[in-house]
Amino acid sequence: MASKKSPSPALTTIPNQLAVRYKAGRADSVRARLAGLGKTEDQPVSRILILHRAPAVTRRALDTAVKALQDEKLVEFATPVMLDLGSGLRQVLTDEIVVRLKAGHAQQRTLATLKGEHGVTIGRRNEFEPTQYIVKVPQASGTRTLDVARSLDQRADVEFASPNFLTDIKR
Amino acid sequence: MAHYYTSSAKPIQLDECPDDIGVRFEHANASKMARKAAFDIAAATKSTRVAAASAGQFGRFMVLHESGASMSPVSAVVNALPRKLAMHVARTMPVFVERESQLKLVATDQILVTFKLGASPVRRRKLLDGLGLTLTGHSEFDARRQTLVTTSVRRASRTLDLANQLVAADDVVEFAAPNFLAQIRKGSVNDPKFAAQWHLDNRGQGRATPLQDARAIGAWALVGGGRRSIVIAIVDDGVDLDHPDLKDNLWKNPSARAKDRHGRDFVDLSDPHNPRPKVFKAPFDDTQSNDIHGTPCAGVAAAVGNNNRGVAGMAWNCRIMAVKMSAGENFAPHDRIADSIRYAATHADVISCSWAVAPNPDIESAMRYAVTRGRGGRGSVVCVATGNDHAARIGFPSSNENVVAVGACNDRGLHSAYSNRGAGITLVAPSDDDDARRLGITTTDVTLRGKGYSSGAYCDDFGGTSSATPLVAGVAALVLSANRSLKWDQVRDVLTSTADKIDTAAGDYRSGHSLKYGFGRVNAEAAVTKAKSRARRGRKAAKKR
Repeated sequence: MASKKSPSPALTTIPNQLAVRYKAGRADSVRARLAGLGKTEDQPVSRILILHRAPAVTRRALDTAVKALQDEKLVEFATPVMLDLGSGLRQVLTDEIVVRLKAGHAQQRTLATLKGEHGVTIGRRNEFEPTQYIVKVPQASGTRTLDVARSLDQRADVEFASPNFLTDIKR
Repeated sequence: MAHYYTSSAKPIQLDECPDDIGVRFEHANASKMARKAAFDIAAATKSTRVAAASAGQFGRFMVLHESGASMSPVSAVVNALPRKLAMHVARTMPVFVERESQLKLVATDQILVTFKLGASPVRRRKLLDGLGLTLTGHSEFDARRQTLVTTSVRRASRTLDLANQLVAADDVVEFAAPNFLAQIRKGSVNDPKFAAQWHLDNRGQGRATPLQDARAIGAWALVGGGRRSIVIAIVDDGVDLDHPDLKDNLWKNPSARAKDRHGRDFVDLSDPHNPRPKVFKAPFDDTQSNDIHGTPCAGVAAAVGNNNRGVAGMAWNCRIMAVKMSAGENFAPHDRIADSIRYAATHADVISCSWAVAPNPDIESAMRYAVTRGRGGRGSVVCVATGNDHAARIGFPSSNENVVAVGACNDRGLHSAYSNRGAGITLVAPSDDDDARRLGITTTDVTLRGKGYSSGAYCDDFGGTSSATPLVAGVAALVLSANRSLKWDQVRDVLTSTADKIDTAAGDYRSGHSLKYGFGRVNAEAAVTKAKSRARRGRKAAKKR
């Protein structure tokens, strides 16, 4: 993940894990469809199922199953689970990016540019930081959110852009 | 050597304090002069110091404490007194420590006796004469029954034996006990589980080492449980707002129209003004899948104290704000965590974060927000746990430059094995250890039936840097209670400059900092003393201007 203001944490994709966000009310059916592919880890508040792919299941079989779930509109996105090498904590890539615009730029114009040039939709404005927004990456899959965040972060009118990971909390 | 006296028909066990001696002078003036002389002797010999000198009606008494000297206290202190003062020493008296309370008692040559109603004067006199006791006074309030008698023995420790012999004459005597000069522990609280809270007042409970604690009692003697207006935010998985030992200390939003009365839930957007624990899943004592972590943290920081109930928090009169950033699972989006910090900073003086996540620029930005916007620009003090990974690096956001990074030490004043080490650690605070023989922390637990770390409203096995962190947050709240004008980094300076350098043998302190202990173990008493002193200096400087 890139950020101009902070050192970039080193991330790696965990090869046998995949996260899907199911649509509200579809947890049981998605869980049932994934059950044959490996063990699932439920994060019900976030509507996330993390699948630990069984060794006997091929990557292609998993991709096919996930695509079917997306085609049937049972899941919002399917993204890799990443490992922050510094902390050893898992991070689930979502379809959201936190974007802080630089002060002094015309915000509405900048937001329109982001939509046009990067294909994102503009979500909620931050309650405490008036130049900060959540932007959404349509049809997020694979590492697309990460790639979009990197390109947003390079913009001169953006202070920082960072994927809004679901981060593992260690207590 | 063990001794005892009797109270309510039970023996009260005492241990003699070989390094302490009570001295009684013939008149109060001599005591006053001797006190000064003893201080001079202490300065000269560096082996003797005055631990206490009483005043008022006990103005003739002085208690001296000698540390590290090979000579007996009597010879070291009394012999060192100027001759004209030594002449006025009426007698020396042994000092005992009561095992349960660890309070000191000086055995005088007096015994207080209450005779039974109907005990004849002849029988009373015969008993006293038989033991060689002289009647010296009567109680102002019950002259018929309560009597002060003086022993004629040379060794005042014999007073205990004589008092116990009087107790044995139970056909005549209702009770008898030495008329001790009793140490008064100022600032203590009456909460029944306080005796188990060794992290606040370590008297050697269990197998703990006495005094290896956060020095709460001394701090409370200076600022009580803190100011009501100081608010500590617990950013976690919610706080049990109905807990009987927390609810009276909950922050109340000063804005009457505000819906967030006690805090905010950033997870459940359908019920955002109710930051209670809400999500539970069996097994109900599992931290990751249950909202049970914030409630014990809140108790360590600011459970209501001196209310004759349960436990006391370090800042037991300050307020708790509940900020719920996660619920029922071990994942949360970065923006929610960051906004929880920002929200806390808009209302709270101190923010306690007993968790670690992967580094993120939005959370870093939130930490900057807290120290620049919190407390009207003076900055909220953000305390963050360094983590429990046995690692040689501390977690994020404790590694952020704008926080107080808190590690853990155990009930013996040694490093808790799990507590992460690193250059970024600010200080440590008492908590549990991997070794099950070391004591855990007694604090509040969720009151929902069958949920939490224990079956009741309190648990005694909380720990980790999760527990150390709200303890330091509580100390920061006491520091701000003593001096509200301090900026956040000045509070951090006060905490680090007054911390106790523990385990100096293995701590490997370099320029005052250890990778295990940071600048040492938090010392609430010393921190509050320093904060008050800075406040006094500030007032003096303001007057001059």
